[in-house]
Amino acid sequence: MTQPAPPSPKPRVLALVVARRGDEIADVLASIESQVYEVEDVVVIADQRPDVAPETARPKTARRLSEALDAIDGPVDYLWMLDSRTTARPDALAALIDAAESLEASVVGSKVLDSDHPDRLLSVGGPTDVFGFPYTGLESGEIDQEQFDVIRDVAFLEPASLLVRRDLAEGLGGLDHTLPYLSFGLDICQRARVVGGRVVVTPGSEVFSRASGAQRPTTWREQAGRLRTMLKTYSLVTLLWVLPALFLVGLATWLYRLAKGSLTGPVDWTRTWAWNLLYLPSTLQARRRAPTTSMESDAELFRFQVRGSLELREIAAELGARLGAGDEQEEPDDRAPPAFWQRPDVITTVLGVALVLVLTRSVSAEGLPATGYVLPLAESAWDTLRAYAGGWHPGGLGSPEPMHPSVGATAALKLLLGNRGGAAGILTVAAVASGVAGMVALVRRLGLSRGARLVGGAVFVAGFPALWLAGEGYWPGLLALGGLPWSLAGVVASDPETGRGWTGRLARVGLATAASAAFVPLSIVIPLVFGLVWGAVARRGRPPVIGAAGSVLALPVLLPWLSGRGVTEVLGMGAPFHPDPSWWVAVPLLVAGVVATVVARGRPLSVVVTGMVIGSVGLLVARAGSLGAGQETTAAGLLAAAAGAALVVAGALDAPASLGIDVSLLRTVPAYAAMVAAILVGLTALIAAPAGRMGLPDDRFGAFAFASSRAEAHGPDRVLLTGPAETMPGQYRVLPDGTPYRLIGGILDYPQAWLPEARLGDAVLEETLVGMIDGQELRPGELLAQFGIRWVAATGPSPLVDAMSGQLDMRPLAGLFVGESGGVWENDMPAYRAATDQGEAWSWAAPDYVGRQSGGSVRIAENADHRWGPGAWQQDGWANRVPAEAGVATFAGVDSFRFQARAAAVVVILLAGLSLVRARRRAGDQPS
Amino acid sequence: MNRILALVVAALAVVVATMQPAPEPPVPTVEVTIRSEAPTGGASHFAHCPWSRSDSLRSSAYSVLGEGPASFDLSFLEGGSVEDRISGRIDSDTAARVENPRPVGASSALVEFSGSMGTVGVVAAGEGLLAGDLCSGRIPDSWHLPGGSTLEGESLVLRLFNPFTADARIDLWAFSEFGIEAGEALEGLTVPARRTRVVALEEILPRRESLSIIVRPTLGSVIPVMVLDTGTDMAVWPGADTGTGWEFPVAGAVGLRSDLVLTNEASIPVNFLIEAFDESGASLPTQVGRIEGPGQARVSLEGVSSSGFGVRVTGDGPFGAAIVARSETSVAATVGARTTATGWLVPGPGVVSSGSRLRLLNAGVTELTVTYRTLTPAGRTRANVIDIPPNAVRTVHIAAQEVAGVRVTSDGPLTVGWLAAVSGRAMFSGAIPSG
Repeated sequence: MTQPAPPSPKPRVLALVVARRGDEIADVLASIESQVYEVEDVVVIADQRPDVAPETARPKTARRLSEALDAIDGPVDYLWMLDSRTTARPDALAALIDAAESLEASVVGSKVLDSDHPDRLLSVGGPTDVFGFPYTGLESGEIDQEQFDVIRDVAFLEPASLLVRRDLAEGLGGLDHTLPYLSFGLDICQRARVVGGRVVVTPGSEVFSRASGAQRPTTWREQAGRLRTMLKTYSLVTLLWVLPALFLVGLATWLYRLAKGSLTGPVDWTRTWAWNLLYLPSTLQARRRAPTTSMESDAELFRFQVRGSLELREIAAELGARLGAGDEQEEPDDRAPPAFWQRPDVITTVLGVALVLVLTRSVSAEGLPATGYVLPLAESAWDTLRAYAGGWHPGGLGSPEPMHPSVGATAALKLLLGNRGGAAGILTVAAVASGVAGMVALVRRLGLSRGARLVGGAVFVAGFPALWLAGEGYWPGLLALGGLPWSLAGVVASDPETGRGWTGRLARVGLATAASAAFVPLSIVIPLVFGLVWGAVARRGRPPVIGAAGSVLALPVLLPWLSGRGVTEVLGMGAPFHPDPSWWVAVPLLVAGVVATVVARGRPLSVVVTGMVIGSVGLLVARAGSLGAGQETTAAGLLAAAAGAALVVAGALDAPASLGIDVSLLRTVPAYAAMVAAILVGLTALIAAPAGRMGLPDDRFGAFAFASSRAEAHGPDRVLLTGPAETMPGQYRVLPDGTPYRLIGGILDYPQAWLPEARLGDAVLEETLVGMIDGQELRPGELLAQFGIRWVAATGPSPLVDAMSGQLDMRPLAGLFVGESGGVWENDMPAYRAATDQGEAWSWAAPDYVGRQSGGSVRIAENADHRWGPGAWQQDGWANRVPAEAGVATFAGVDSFRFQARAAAVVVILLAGLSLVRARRRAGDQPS
Repeated sequence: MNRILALVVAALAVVVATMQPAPEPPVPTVEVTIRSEAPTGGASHFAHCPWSRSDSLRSSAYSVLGEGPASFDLSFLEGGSVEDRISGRIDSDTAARVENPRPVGASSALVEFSGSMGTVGVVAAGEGLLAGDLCSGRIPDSWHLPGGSTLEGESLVLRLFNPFTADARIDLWAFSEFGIEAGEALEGLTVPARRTRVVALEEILPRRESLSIIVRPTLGSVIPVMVLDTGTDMAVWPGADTGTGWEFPVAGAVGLRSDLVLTNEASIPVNFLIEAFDESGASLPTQVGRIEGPGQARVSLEGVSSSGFGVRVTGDGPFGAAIVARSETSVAATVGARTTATGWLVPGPGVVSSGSRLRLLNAGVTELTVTYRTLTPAGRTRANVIDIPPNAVRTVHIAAQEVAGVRVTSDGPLTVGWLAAVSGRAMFSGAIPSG
């Protein structure tokens, strides 16, 4: 007969209270006292003896685990570690012992509940990421409905209540008291795992603790603690990749928090690493004491870890929540209102401003590069306006033809800015900022989220259409970005209730349209087209009317240019653009547009549909060069494409938010795909960020300053420029053999970007250049002198350059280049734009010529026009000859053009005034 | 409905937009410039004369002819500037003769015409010297100068004239009986603006029996001329472009042994056929051969005819050609004519005191009636008419010393040149097609 096995002795437990400075421990001692499973003894681990109530028996204290074990009588099997803020149900310890014995677990944790709200969960353990960041899996304030009541293996336990096998605790080298609360628990769990111990949570053991807030794991002490734990427990191989990754994750995290307005991010990040550096000796000592750290032990840790970084996931989730918030109104909740800098509007504004600053920082710091149409504004804004209002067009050999509206607009704005240098850069930055703000306003009025607004704004000013314009150096296109979205926003704005309100609104739409059309004249039709499309989509009748009104009100701003050129000519004039977006932009944009059109609902759908139509039609117009569209037409097409792309992206971003919770996955997944595609398109807007000049090419024309430095006393004469078409500033003419060329009047400035229609002198010049190319002219300098051409400059290969290699009277200026190849030749012959009979040169003081008074006449090398004076005018071949006795030669002007220009100015002032009047009324309506 | 309509509109617009071809940007037709496609000859608005020589025992003269009434400026460039400038005027029935005003040595000059196009020839004569040829008008991409030699006692000089305002840089390709010659001295030669650079080939490539040069500018332009000095006489001949056929009215003369030297700068060989024509109109033996690519071929014309003769050489690819003729005491050389014409301007005959011989070659199959009119600075002209049977040459003696040029017209295509001999020295020269 066999003797029954003697019952195994009941495990002996030592309760260890880990005291935190200043904590009252009476409650935890009481709850230990009330346990149904009796403990052998209680020891408080603390640096100094804790405070206890007088009526409570004073417990044993120890500084370290070893001291605690020495302080008790007899061996114990388990250590029940309790945080000083913890209270436990009477059966908590029994449940822990039961789990430890039955599962042979080395570390067992309790379910932690909120002591203030006992029905709310605080922790049930869980996995971590590789950096030790804990994942509780709990919502804030989640109610305990026994949903986690299952014994599980976990990577991490909160140290509110932990049962640890004594031999394990001793083998691990004791507790790490340098660590804060959460890291303390992580440290025990990780070290137990490394030696093969099992770590479980048993929900049957319930303890209570105080909620410490969701931000606790992100404090620098916890971050530092996690890093120390990693250093202690990971193998060297793992540390080799984990530490750099942690460094980068920390960097990204604090950058994000910095963007959110938390200035402590960089400080915390620095403190985390500094603290570990300080404690590195003790960390290494602890690591040496650890039984093993190897790839195998790492693998055991990885089994209970999630992939990636939980911190980055949280950030992504936060961003997603912000971008996906579809409603204008925030959901009311019982949480405290966010601080000023945490308000979404403020964040949106800050991000918008940051975007503009990043995109234009080089322009702000160094000014605009001189390239394409990006040319310095004329020195005197007032004189430019004089020339604009029916005066002499300085392009080529001159013309009475009206100048491009952008010349007048930029001159007027420069005058408003005090006629100072740097106005072009200021205008550019202002236009980009206005473009972002305008698109944000438009998307807001269309009812989309803040994220959609911001990304839409970014795509509008830095998406592929705008970057294409910038890449071509088409500066007026960038300036037009500033006004266009405001006019579209005016089209979709809610209807005013009063006539005064209507007046102000129409004035604003007209003004904004004028602000765009002054730079890209044919963009004047975009508000009308937008109104038609939006009206059809939203089934409203007023948008087309308001759009049309805006277009009509802005029409005068195109005078006198439009009346001088005529609509038909305007449509086809200039070298057209031909945008060819890269597949990595086009494909996401198409995916975003098509998928969102198919699956989205509500406002996002309307916005995407409108954007699709406007954008695709804009793209068609922008690529219609082969159908006869000219530069102005294709530029307007690009602006429409920019607006369309921005609306598509904005709508697609809000596509998931437009779907309700009752929508199937078949619809939800594509909506998210559209959102991702839209984000990709939005990211492409950052392409221009590194250079910081809105995608404008490098400076090409700075070298033209030689004309000033080599000028004679009367000032610089003309430069004949030739080279590949893409290297020419502004517009250019083409010889019959396809050679591009143009004249520059001394100092290259914006009014010269546009060339008037060729006249008699231009025809003679062309004939001369053809002769040079044919090799018939051995002395081109003599021939070019009559045009006032003192220099021939090549920006690249050109037949004219070849001709210059075999001639006798134009000296090459060795070492001076205005392009990657080519060169500069200086005329040996006197080459003056204006010279008296005695051969004395007069100066070009735009738009007049001035010189010393003398008898006889002065020959003005401008296209012949009888309005040159003063005095009796004579035609001298293709040029002019006027008396020299006045010491000045002026162009009398074209009265009708002057009247039209003044009328345009009056209309613009009127529109601006009406807008301002309404704004003041509004301000006055506000309660004081 | 909105969705479908939007998708249809967008799809249509995007498809149509995608189908639009990019507008053609203006691209200059750089390859079709006049320099590489210049007419094979003819008068021009300017002429470059890289060589003339004057000293106490020798003198040179420039003969100037125009297509029509024209004024001309003759500028002598030295040391980067114009040292002398002579202006003059010619009309339809006059030719000008300008003596070289430079006191000593070789000089380079540039002639500019205005009013009409013209041509210039240079003749230098004196002790131990009778040489001259045409000045170059248009400038080809590369210049061929076949026919030199650097035997013991000979001097072969390449003069590179850059009258322009930009420095030029050139490479020289040299071919001798040893094949292609290489050397740093032949590469990247800079010719400063408005200067002439002299390359002494007898120092760089001495003791070559047959030395041909191709001048290839890599930057700017130059006008070359080859000057061969045998010690008893000199020969000067200009650089020329390539052609697939050349006619040499002056290929040989009594007492001279002629060689036809051909050059090929292409990488593929050129096969050629040489036909000879003399006064008799009899059928003379032809020769065929091959110029390696790149390389040169030298063909002796000795024994072709006992009298003066001309040759025509045709190839199956472009090549350069020159005739070099020698005797014990004389040497003469000239380049041929790339084209036949019914009108010719012949600058120079009459300058030589003992008179010159105009040589006319009719390589066609019909008899030609040719009128040649001698032109003098004073406007005294004299016209003569001769008939030239097919496949024959005719030689006309020009004795009057005041003759500065000859205008030749014909009822059919022919080529014209002239030659002169004085005191055992000889020279060959070409003419310029007119009209």
